[in-house]
Amino acid sequence: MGAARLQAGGEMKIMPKQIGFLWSASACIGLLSFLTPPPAAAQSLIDGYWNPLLNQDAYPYAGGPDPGDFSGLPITEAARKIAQQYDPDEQTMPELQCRPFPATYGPRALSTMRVWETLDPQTQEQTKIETWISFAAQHRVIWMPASHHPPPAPSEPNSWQGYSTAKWVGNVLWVHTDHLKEAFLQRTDGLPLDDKTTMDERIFRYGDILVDIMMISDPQYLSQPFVYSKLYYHIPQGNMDPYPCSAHNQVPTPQGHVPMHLPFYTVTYNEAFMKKGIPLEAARGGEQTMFPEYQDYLKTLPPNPSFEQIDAEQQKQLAEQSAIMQDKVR
Amino acid sequence: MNFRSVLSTITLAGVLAAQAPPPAQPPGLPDTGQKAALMDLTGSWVSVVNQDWRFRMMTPPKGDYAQVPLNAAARNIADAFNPALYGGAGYQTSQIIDCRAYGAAAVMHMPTRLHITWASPDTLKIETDWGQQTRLFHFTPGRPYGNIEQALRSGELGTSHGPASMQGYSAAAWEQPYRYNASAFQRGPVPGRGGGLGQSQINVDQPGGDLAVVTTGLAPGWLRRNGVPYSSRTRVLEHYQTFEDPTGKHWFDVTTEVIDPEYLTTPFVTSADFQKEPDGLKWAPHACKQVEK
Repeated sequence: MGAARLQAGGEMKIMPKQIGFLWSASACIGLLSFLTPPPAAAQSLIDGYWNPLLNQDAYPYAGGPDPGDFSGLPITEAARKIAQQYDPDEQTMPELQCRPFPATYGPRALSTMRVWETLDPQTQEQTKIETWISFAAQHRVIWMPASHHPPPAPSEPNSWQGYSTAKWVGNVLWVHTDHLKEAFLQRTDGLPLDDKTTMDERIFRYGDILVDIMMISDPQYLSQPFVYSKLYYHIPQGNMDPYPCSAHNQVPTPQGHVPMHLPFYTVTYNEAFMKKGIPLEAARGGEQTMFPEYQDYLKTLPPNPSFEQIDAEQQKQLAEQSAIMQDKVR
Repeated sequence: MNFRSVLSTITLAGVLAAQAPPPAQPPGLPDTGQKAALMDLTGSWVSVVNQDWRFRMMTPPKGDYAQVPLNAAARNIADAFNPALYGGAGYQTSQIIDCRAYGAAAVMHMPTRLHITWASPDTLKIETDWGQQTRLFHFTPGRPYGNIEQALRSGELGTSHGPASMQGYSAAAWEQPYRYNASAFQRGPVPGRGGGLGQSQINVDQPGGDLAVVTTGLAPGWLRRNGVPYSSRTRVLEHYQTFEDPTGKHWFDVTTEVIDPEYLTTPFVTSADFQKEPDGLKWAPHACKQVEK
């Protein structure tokens, strides 16, 4: 338009009219930025696509931990007893193949995560932050105070992702989650979590690194909160594949068969962690295994026995238990 | 000067304000690292090892460098680890630990207790009982706040501070919240939100923030007890953040990024969590072993 006007001999304009208007408008914005109060809202610090960093704890969360290795986990005796009956073949049961991940586990699993926010169109306040984790298609909603979203009614069933509320304290997102279904602490070692489990998180970032400190509390199966810091890094042009899941009878088994171990017979699942040199006793876990002084105790432990010795000892225990049961029946 | 010119000048000033570096610290603000502390890291702390247990609490098997992005040269060095020097057949649990495993790039990942004090108004001191190491975090006098990553990129940090050592030279700064969202168009505090303070408010006291530390001048060391190496060209970037668990216990988390152009193909990033203890009664010095190289 401006160039055309010059050619037509009209009033000389250095800049086209529209650009001039934009320049004035931007100048007004510049002026307003000095004169007006701050906006009521700002961009969330954690939006975008995030990939898990694989430099720590990838071993228990990629393929799953070695069955029977609970070292460093503050589990109770009740949790240990349940996990000792767990058989990883359980994962092949059609009923469990597409089982979702709970909010207490999903962020620790190795999968891309997308985070996005929803703003109130009137106030520009955050009403919710949502996360989608690719593997197992985990969709979680974190309600912000501005949403005034009520907690689930007592009649509502607990869910895999639970009910999460959050607030910003400075640049740290404080999240609390409850109303969770009974689930698992780690995926392939059978450690349970009760449906009274709660989780508190502190989420923040340093540049392109996102830190999610998860504090999982379960008085039934954890002797103290399980504090776990998960690291992600930002992917500027992230994307995500769909996660279709359909159950197949991968390993033909009789209908109704549930793979499990007898609680006294743990030989088969000792093998993997024993090959890494982890002492049998340390693998039993418990909060004492988390602290530095356990290093002094480790060096007093005898070498692990051979598989044959363990097998013979556990067969003996089984026979004794069987005899006790038979006596009770008589 | 017509109205448009006035507006243009103001716009330009706004844009320049958005692009300018943070202003010098205004008078009246704390001028030492100790006075400016955004969190209290002093006291007795214990590492809680519930991640990478078999790499941290024990010596992993020779040749096990899973999760560490080593190049071929580094793998050759790691494969030369000699278990006979560390207890022979029982080397994994012997607790004969090479001092090189307690260098600045790895020490916070080792199971240990910490005693943290202010050695001077601008020097935070961290002592470990396992490995018996001492780290000194140096704040720049008069400038306790800053953006460590930016300073590292601009070459402001990383210069030599004497001969290389296991703990190297650590420069520290308190990183205030919101710096990622600072702009001229987000001015003033934004309560209850995840970001948005402008340059003009960047030194205003807000909750949050972290301690950032860059360590250089390192002697070669080990990322793991089984001889996984890092070189003297390594730079270590750390961020410290405190938090409280649901039972009221105090913790801090440290995220450690090891950048080694000689042996690592990508940065090696880990985190470790420490729980505060009421006193130092469980302090138990354990010397590390100076093994002949």
